[in-house]
Amino acid sequence: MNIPVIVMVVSFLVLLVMDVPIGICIGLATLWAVSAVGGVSAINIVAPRLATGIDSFALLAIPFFILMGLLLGKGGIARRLIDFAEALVGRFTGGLAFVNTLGCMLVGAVSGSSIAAVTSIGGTMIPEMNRKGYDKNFNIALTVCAATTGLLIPPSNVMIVYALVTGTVSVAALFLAGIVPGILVGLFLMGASAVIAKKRGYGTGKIIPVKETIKRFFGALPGLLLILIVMGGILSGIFTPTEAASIAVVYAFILAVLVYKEVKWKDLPGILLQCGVTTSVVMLLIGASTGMSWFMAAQNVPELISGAILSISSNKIAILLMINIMLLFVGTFLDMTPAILIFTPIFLPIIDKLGINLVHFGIIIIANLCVGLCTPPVGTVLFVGVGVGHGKIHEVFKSLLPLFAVMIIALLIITYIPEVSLTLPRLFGF
Amino acid sequence: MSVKFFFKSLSEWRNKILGYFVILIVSIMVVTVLWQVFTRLVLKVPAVWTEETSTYMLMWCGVVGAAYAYGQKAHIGMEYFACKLNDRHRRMLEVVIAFLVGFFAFRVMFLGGMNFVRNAFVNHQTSPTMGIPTGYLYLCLPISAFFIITYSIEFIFKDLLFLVGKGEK
Repeated sequence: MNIPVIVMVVSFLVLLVMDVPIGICIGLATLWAVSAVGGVSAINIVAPRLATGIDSFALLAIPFFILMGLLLGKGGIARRLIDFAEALVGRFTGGLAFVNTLGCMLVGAVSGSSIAAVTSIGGTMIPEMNRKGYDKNFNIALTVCAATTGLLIPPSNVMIVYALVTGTVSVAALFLAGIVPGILVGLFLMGASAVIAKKRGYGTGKIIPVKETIKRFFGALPGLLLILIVMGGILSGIFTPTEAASIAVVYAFILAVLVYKEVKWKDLPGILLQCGVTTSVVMLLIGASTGMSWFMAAQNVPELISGAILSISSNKIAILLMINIMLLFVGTFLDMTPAILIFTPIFLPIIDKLGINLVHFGIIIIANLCVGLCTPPVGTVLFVGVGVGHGKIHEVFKSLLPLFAVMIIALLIITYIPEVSLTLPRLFGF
Repeated sequence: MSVKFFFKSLSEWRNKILGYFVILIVSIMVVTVLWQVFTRLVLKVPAVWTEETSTYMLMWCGVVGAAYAYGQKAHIGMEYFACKLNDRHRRMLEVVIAFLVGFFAFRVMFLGGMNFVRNAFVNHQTSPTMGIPTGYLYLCLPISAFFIITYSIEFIFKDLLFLVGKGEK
């Protein structure tokens, strides 16, 4: 390793531990690293990329999906999805845990945000489960883990970021590839809940009559249709992902404001502002990471790392395991978006060399980093979940461990059986 | 009118202006992309300016919005260790963080951004479809830098006042 790279890594870690905003950590670390190389003016490397790094029509889908999620969350669609989930899986032993997981999958999918899932599901399901005698820490842990499945089930903003970094992968293919792995992780979490519920003797939920189930299905249908509209629009080639996202905004607006009337006209400026703030947080990360990736490419960091990995082993299975372990470690202290932005380009040469499909690798990276979202010291979803459920991180942590175990088993299946991800995209000709 | 009151209302005005600006930009983004879909699918004559306009709006939303987001302390960081500090040490750390953010805004976004704007004008760079001089578009960097620096100064002042025992909680 040369000195500028060491400057970058050390300054980034020091700034990160100090709680400097991560976008600024990345920017300053790059600034000092480029200065350490000398020769070029570092500010002229970092500054332009903050603007040009986000100058992309494909990225425009991100604010739209955020806006769609906000409208749906405040518009009462989340509640209707939970009601439908209750009718489907509430009747079994540990039924509320299933309702929680399925609810998180549905809300996470239509809102494209695990934070939205954990707040809306956690806010209603955790107190409900507490009342029915489920252990509070288990309830929080389950909500947190289940909420991340929404990042694999489309539409998903992190997939748009991944597609941007690789430059060649189609967003539509990624969206399709995420469906089965997302459902798989959800099913694994339900399996773990079933075992825990049986052991601890949690009761069954109420049985919803068929008539009521049908009613609730139609209540949830408008929300579920949104996924179909987005996917159908993109796959049929009528819309680009960004255009489909803008249609999804209109659809969510009509539902929330005109049909359900749960979002009032006067709430709209606040929702638009919140969308702008969330967008700018993501965009600062993207812009700053573009500079850092440029620097690492200029210093041949990706080649050095792939060389180092290949010198340990040239076995595909072993290398994928190593990459997964590295990413699990990275995920504990980096949020998903910066982790994807920084580490995808680092692993690309080796992925290329091994002949791994880039769509498949995208799903591996996202499924892996989902675990990181639930682990301290940086676990955005965990923090929100603990806040919503009024718990304490060190108390919840023990309940998280068995769920991590099943998530990692699911991750290994996703990693070593490419068909889990790739069958659907292949069916649609990708 | 006291000095404190003057700065307080100045700070509130800045927040309002930035907030309305972000709302406006997000609205334009949504409307332009919808117009693009409408002209292509319904009018069958796709508008040429929509893709570029909406993309530049995203750039402004991201860069200028980052200043507003900083004012709301919405940018994510690793709070885990900083949260373990006591109130006083935490405030001292906040001063250092605000200084670093202000430094980045001034050095990179303002000085670097101004270089970038200047180069774009000197080289007569224009946007591909609409022919707007890109120098104007990149002005979002120094503008955002200005607002971030005002927030940094405000945060540093508030934390220092707290540390000498005169500030609000």
